[in-house]
Amino acid sequence: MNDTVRIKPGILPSGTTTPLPGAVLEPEPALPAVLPSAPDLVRPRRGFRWGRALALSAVTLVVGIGVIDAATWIDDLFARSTALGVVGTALFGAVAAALIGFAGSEYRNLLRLRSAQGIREEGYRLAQSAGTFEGRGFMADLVKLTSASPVGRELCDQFRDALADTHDDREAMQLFERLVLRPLDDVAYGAIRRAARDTVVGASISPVGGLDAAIVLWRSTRMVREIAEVYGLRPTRLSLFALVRRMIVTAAFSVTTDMVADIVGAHVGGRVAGLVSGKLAEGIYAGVRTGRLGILAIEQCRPLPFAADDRPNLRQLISQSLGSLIAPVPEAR
Amino acid sequence: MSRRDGQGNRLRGPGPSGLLNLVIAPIYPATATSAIRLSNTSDDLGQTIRTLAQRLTASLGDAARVIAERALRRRLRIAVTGLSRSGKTVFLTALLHNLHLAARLKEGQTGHLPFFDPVAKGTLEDVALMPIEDLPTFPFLPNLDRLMDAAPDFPPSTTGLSGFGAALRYRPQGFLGRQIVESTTVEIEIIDYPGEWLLDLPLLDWSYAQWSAATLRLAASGARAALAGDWRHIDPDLPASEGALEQARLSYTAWLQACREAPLHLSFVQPGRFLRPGDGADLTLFRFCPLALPEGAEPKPGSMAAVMRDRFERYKSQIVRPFYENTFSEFDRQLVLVDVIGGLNAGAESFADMRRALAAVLKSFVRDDEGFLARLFRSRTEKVLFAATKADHVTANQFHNLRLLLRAMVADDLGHLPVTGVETDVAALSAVKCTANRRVLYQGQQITVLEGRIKGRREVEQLFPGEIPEHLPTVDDWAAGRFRFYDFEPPPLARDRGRGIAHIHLDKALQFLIGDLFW
Repeated sequence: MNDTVRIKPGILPSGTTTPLPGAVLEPEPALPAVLPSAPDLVRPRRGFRWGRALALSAVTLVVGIGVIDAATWIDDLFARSTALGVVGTALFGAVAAALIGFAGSEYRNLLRLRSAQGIREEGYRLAQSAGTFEGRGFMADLVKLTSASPVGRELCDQFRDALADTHDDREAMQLFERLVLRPLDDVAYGAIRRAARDTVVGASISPVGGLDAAIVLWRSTRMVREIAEVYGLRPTRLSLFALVRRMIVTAAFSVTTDMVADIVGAHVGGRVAGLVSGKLAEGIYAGVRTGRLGILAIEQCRPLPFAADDRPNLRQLISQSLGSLIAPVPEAR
Repeated sequence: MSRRDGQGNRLRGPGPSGLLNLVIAPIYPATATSAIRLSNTSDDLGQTIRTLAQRLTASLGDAARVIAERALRRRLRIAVTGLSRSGKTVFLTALLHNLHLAARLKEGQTGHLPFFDPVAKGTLEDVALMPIEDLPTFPFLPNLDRLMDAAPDFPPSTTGLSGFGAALRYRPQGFLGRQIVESTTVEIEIIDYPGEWLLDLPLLDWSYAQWSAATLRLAASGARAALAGDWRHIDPDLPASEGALEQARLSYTAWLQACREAPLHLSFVQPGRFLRPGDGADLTLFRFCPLALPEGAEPKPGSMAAVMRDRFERYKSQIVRPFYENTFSEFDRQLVLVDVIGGLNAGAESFADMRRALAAVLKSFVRDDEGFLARLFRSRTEKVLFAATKADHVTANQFHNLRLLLRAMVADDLGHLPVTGVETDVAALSAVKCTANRRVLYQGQQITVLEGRIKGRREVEQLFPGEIPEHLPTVDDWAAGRFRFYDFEPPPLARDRGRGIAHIHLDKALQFLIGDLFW
């Protein structure tokens, strides 16, 4: 604490007030719900966005037609009888309210996803800073986010139990990492392994070409949703779409060396498998792709970035899920 | 505890678990280390080649033995080093208690040791305490009872040598470990002794004349100069008698006591064992004190100087040397506890004296030195942790400075630590956490304060303990009276007996010292 004026050591007079009684994890200043998101990897485009203009005008057109149609329809109903008009208005109102509610919840989920992104950046900063005690409010947010998943809630309780008022920011982040995130990672890896296994099997035995693509798509979507739920994100349709979109962008712009090594290794493994059976090799390729997608999903959903020596190993995950074709993967707890 | 093979080399395999012994046996058969002499007279080329091949095999065998020994060594000795009142006994009591309970935690719980990997990963299965051969057992239970009492108190300071072993059984997590065994054991041995005894360590490198001259110089400086003592007036040439020698011992011991007690609080009191002789010590060996000896002159036979010189040498060979050979000759890890906060409280001279005492003690551990002790310690010590104890006397935001200050204290004036070639770290810890950190509003500022019961008082109070300088205190710091850190009563621990003792960074210290053994 950098106190601006040096205070003389000694026992404090009883008039001193305690802004933070007792509990360690009492939030200090509550963080704003939406944090400024990361500087985008893609350079922002300048000038007029025709695509956005098209989408906006199309939506306005559809909404406008709907509203005008409904208005003429309701007006028509009122012309016939007041009772009919009231019923019609109520029905339309209900639909409109449901629509607004739906859009609102999707929007909130999107915000939640973005705030997870902000939390990750703040967490990275705190994990680097030793000897400071600024992060308690942030830890409260982190715990709140992670507690949204049932496994996470239990782990967060253990974390709260282990955290002492003498642990500085870096230690608190380390504790969170080892007591909460690593067990959650294991659960997420389990989801990836199961999805990869299903994809391998599905793609290997599907009789027609289109079917295996459908299996991969369906299984991958379910996996991404599962992974997001593990980290407390509870994604809905739109936010899931946003998540997948961000994963793809990240994959395109940040192909790291270890990722390349992983993929090369996995491909060599695939070639060996190809000698055994062409169909099985296709299945393994599909499994590798699903695994890669899963790891990208973890990186997007995990509230703190991976430590350098702790990054997930794609090859290991794939070989484990192949092994699980013989012995079943344990279900998530 | 360790066994010897045919060549008298110490074997450090895990004793009780037979499995790993079976692995060792075929790796280095007794012949592998036997020396083979190259024949000078034989000109038979075949013989020479055969001999060279045998030598090569022998050295390969040696290498394999060293590797196997390293890989399988699962028992190690930790030296807990610290001047008196640095908190060794409390540290050991809290450590043992927390370890003991950690093995009994429910799944997912980490008790008070979340930074100790075997506990965090839930692989620790059992912790058993074992006595050490030929050593009195560390009074763990009496100490714990004192802490857990309804009116808790810190354990009394150590008066003699004691030790304990702890066997930590755990499930290996490494790929290899899992293949070999289901569970395995790491055994640690820790020794407790009065901190005063450490100060005898430097005596081993000194002669009586050197020690006398150095001690008299010190006694004439600073606050010591004002302390009177009959021993200062002893004539070295006077014929010695046991009565006079005993008088000298009593007078010198009283003088040392006065140096150490309030208001001086000095640390460099030599020989330290005069203050804590230990049970059954032969006090006739203690009948010496520093005397003003004429430069280079041989003392007259039968004079006080001659007899005291003889006693000094016997004290070294019969008391000091056996203690160090038994206690410190083979340890693998070292924990150096320093009461930095006590040093700051005691004032400039006491602080400087503590630094002097630490430097003298630690100098004996320097591995590059060719001294007697250096040879003993060579190639054994792998890690050294310097720790400032009683960290709960300041707020948590001061720990960083506390570590920096400790580093400055134990380092020489160029900033080098007194150990080289080993892994070192500096920590701030507290074996029993007596205070809590609170954020309060005071004079319009948000500050962090301590909440606890100050020693001797009844009420829990909040206080601002002040700040720790990050460098050695300057003259201005001392003059400003910045340092007045209160001692606290231990918290009521009996309430959560099953949860262990709250501490500060004990688990991190443990992880640094022995965490790497759990593979």
